[in-house]
Amino acid sequence: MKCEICGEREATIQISKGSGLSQKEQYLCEHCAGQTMDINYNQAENPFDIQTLLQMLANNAKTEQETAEEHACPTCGSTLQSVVQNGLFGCSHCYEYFERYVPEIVTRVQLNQQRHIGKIPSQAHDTLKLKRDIESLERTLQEKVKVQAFEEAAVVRDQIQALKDGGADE
Amino acid sequence: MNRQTSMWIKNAENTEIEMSSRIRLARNIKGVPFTHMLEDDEDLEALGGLVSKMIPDYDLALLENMTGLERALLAEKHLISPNFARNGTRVFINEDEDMSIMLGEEDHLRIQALGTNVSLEALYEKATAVDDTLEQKIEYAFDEQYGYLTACPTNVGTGMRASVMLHLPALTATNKIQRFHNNLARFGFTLRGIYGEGSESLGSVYQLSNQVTLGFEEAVIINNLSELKNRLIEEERLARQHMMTLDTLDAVNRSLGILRHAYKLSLKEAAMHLSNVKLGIDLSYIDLDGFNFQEWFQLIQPGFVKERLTEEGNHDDTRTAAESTRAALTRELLGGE
Repeated sequence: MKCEICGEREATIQISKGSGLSQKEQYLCEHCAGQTMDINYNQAENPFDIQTLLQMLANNAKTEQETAEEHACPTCGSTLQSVVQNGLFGCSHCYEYFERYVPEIVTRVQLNQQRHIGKIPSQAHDTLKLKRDIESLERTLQEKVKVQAFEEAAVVRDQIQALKDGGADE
Repeated sequence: MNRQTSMWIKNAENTEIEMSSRIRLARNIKGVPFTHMLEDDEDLEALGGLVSKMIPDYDLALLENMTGLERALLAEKHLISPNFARNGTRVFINEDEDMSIMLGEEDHLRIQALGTNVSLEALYEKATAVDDTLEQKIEYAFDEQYGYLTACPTNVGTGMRASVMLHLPALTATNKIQRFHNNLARFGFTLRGIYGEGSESLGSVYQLSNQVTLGFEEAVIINNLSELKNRLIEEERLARQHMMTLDTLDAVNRSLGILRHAYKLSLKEAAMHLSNVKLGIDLSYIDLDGFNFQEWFQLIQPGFVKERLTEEGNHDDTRTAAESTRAALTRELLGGE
């Protein structure tokens, strides 16, 4: 039987298209089947197809990678290869260990997002907040220095020092 | 275990298009390899002990002591994922069956809140409250840049997946669903089948959920999802206006006839006819008291059908037995002979 769409190639795949009122069966060749909804629905240009993405990264990395052991995460033993195979990191430390690949992986699967701004666990909250406050004051300090507002800059500098001292006490 | 559908779905109002909603938070314990790298059950057992103490009013279900059927029922009730039904070990479930905590899914902890006629905001509040409680005794794997660290980078950041189930027969019939699927992907959202990742769409029921979990606050993700949901509902309503035809009137009543009189129904077929009847009711073509689309959609699933067979003392495992039981069920539900 010929494919119902192109009418040229041999039909090798039977697919059910749509559902409910519009359900129908179609006999298609591989090429046309690949372009219709049911198959596209799962695979087409899915930016979140982590497996494909990781495989691609691994292929790029292969040339650089000499032995697997050298590249195993010291905490869990995951290698780039095993991460690719599972589509999963082995432990939280992998995020640091594979730091060369993580930013690209994360930006690709997270639509270019790179930084968490949501909920923070309360245990991490205090130290993280302190760090962010200091960073923010340091930016202010630089701005003050830039416009030569040295008196104000001195105040900000003292504030930073106070936060750093307070943080060290804890 | 409760072998019936959950109370919240039994009492679901017959709403148009929008069905149940769900919030899921993924969390991992600091210093412990992710689930698939664990060599033994020790860490998860210890975690189980901790969760039992912190949330004593939840029931712990040990999957290894359960039959395949019981596990399938939990998955069909959305209390565990289909993957967890096959490989999971422990799940905590509250009495109302609208909260669950899976231990050792892809991540150490998956906290879930679900319900119908309830906002995603309210569900998030419930889930995050459980998260806050657990966090008093559990130190999570958290990174300043990447947020909550998860086994799969698609969940990193908030670790939150928000989803809404939608009945979209008109968008399906007019093939517009594919276009929406592609557009949604650009905004970091996705439309999937009713039982989540990799599952096919049955009876024009889809799950709208966020793909992007990083770079936005939880409230923003929820808000964006709600806006997209409203857009989809609006589009479905518009598409339905063009379906007020004799063909539709004929199709929905044929479907009602089949559900009332068939003696053999596959899952796909039963789902399609239930979907058509639901559309018929929404379009005021059919008037049926007590029609509960959401609950009945669960009851036609393989697990619930098998449960019905087993209750009747029938241990026939064949497809014919299941299909004939499913048809008996729809005859009974829809007032056939």
